[in-house]
Amino acid sequence: MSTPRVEPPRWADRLLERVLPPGAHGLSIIADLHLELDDLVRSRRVRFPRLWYAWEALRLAGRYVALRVGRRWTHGRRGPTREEMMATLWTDVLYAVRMLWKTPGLSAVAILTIALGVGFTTHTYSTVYGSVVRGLPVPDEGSLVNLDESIEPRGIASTEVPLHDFLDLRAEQTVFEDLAAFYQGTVNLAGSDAPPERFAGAFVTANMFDVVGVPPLMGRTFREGEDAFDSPPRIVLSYHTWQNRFNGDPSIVGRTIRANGAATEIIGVMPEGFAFPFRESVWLTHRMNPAELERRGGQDLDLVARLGPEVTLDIARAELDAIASRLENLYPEHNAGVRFGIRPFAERFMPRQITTVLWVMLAATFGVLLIACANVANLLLARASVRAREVAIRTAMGASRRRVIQQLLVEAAVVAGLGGLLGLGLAYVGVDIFNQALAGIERPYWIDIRVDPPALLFALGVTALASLAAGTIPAWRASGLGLGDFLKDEGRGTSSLRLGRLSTALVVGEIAVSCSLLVAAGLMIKSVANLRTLDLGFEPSTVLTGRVGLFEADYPRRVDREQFLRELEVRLEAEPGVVDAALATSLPALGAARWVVEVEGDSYLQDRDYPVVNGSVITDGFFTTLGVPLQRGRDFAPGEVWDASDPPAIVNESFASRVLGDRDPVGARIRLGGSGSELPWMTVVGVVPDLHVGGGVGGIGDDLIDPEHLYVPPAILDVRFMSALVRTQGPPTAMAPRLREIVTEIDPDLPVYWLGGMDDAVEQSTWAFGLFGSLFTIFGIAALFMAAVGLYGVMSFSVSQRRQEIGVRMALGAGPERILRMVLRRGLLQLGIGMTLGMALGYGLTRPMRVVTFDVDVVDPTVYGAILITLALAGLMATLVPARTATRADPVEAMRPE
Amino acid sequence: MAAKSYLGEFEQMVLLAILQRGDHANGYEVRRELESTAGRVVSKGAFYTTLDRLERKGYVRREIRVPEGGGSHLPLRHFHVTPAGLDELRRSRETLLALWRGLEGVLKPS
Repeated sequence: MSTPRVEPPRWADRLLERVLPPGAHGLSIIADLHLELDDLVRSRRVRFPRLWYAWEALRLAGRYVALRVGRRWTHGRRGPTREEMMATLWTDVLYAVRMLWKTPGLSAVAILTIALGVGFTTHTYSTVYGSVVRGLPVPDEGSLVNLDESIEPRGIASTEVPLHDFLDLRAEQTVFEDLAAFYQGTVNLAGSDAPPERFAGAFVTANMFDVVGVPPLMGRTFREGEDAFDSPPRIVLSYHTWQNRFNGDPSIVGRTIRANGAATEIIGVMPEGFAFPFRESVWLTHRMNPAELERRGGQDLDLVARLGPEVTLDIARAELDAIASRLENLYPEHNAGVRFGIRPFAERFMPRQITTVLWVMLAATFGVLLIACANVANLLLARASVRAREVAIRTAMGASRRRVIQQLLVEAAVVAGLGGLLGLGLAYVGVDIFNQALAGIERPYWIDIRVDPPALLFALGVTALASLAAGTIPAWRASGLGLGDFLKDEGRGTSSLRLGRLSTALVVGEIAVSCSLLVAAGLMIKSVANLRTLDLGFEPSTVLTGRVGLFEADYPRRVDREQFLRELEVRLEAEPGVVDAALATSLPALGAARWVVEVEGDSYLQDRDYPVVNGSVITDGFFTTLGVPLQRGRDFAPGEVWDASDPPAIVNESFASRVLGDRDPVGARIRLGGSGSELPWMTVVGVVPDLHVGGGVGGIGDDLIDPEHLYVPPAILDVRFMSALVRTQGPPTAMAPRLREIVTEIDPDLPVYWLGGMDDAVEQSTWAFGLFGSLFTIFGIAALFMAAVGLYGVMSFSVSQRRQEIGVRMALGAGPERILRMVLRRGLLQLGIGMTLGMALGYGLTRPMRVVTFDVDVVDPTVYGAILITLALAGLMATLVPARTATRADPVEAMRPE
Repeated sequence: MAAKSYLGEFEQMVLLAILQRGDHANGYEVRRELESTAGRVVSKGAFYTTLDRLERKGYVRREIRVPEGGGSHLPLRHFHVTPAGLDELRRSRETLLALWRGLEGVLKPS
């Protein structure tokens, strides 16, 4: 051969081998195709031979697949032979593609809208599935529950359970297979070659792993009795910790390392993907000593239980109530008003509000999909009415109604199929972006968002639904037109009235749905904007923070801890480049402790009357480091904060006005602890403005607006965990390695964690607002775009349908304004009805969103106003353009029959 | 079947193309013959399914040959028209000719 052979694409041949008849029969058809390819290459009749081959192969394969499907489908039925049926189906598909190709703009819009609809719904479904539906990766996830308690007299709706209540519950209950407890903390690992590091860990009762039901990958988990206070410490590692810190050492089990300063034996490694309960890297036993503790004392615990067979939440609830009453009678002093609550375990870390918002989001995306379907239905409807003449004649000549419907449905299916494919791509991209946005955010370990088989199935179902929804109405309508209807229409080519009314309804529906989505989006945007411009009360941009935890094994006495903290503060202040430095137990905008306080001179009838306020332990310079000016009085003086005799305190504005009332705040005396407190009285020396407290899940909750806040010096409370705050001259993160070094210089075994810029930390705390805000914004804009496109499509179509009528009117002397008015009136009427419906719908949609909106009224007038204007403008544009085209038409031209 | 069904137009064309091509032409050659003589593009899907149908009806026989050297070593089907196929063609032709008789004047291009 003179010309080089072109190899046909392998995949094309493989595809053909699969679908063509088996054996030599099929192969010979491929051989023919090869011969033709050779021929074409030799004579240089095609520019891209491989592309040609691929196309030919696809067409051939399509024909044979259709044939085969048809054979199975029509097996044993009467009527047209399967081959004929499938051949016509295939013809219909090709015909549909050709029709779509003829109006590329309209088709692209239709496919794009379906793609957006399918893409959004699939993406949101993946999110909902990954974070709510799939649940924890433990056996029989549905029977794993979390228990908490409420203390009605003290106004506490939900709190962790004290040790004694847990032990009594465990001893008395009969509804659970077993009941375990844990609390989360951080664990210092040291004593191997790697530098000391801090890990998130859980302190658990010995039976926790059994309750959860996941066996270890290596070694063992805890045994009964290993959670006794005098039992030697043992640790279980997560797969990730084993791999990263211990390089996957296969002989790790049995080794001894230092955990929180104590020699600890590694007894097991958990399998990959296990991080129960939240995102733990290691597990230690909670070594409890109930005999030493008074009731309600000690570390409060999170409870996890496994419901017994046939036990429902209600049955369990009944027994929990009975146990609570018994405890109340036994210990009236401690357990008055204490009740136990029960809920599915996942809700412990995935609050119901967020779950609700996710479902609302899914509903919102279905709104987007609905708009998409309406658009495609409109497109097909428009086309069907243009083709009404053709359809009517075909029907009159004996084409069956089914045949006509099939053609239109196939067309819808082609649009939906292409859109669905594109939408799936969008969903993949969206999930990727979503995961990137979530990358730095602490979330429960089982939340894993990806487009997996359930989501794919979902996308498929959604696409099928979309094509059916978009195809049925036009198909049914168009096929119902008889020749008579067509003739009555006097050659205008359509029964414009009937189709017109339907598409008007569709557009009204579209506007309503997109309007409601815009209401949701608008509230979210406003809430994000509120958040961005929010006055935190301090300046986070040049502040670096990092946290240390001091343990009794390394720092047995309070004075040892104090010495470390004082040295750290002194060294930080002496560091070049540092403007100010301070230590604090909690950072503004990132949560705070809740303390019960007592004001000297006030009397309290009951325990619940003592004020509960936010509290932080801080050292001097805290406010200057954050750039917060004092409103009255003075800051703590250096040295004063470690002196327990006559300790000072600082309060915020809200505290001064709401707790201290009319008295002069400076000089007032306060102490911590409520009734029977033996802590020293503190004298208020200064008043600061309210700062943002934050906290809560992802920054969600009502506690964002800072209530009363009390700042006390470390002399009052023995603290183990403190964050360093450093205001730097340059960018704060440049100082981060230095902060780590300084800590290591004082104690080489002490890791620094949560190290980073204060502004990043604040942003973290508000991720949910930002995330949901941007998602709803995207939905809203997409919905607006689609509704505008739909309105435009329908208006320009209806104008073109009325060309003759407009021509006659103009010929009879109607001026352009008159025509314009006529067209506009119709468009604006649709717009008006749609928006009214949409506002009402939007109001309903936004009600459950209150938990994720920040400082926004659900009936915010500016939001509703902005939406009205935006939609009205978009609608006006969509109506005006076709209206102007209509008035420019030459009457003679317009009246000429087609 | 009550009466023998007539050959479809396309079926006739395929049979004739096989005959025109000389006996034992392969699929590709037959299709090229069709395209060049009839002057129309033939869809491969329609062509091969028609060939299959003709084969089922017994009007066409095939012979599988594996070419030696060159090409892709895939088996090729060579077709030839069976006596039954020839009969059928003859019958179609006669029917059509009978119908055409005397109409030359009417249908002469003006």
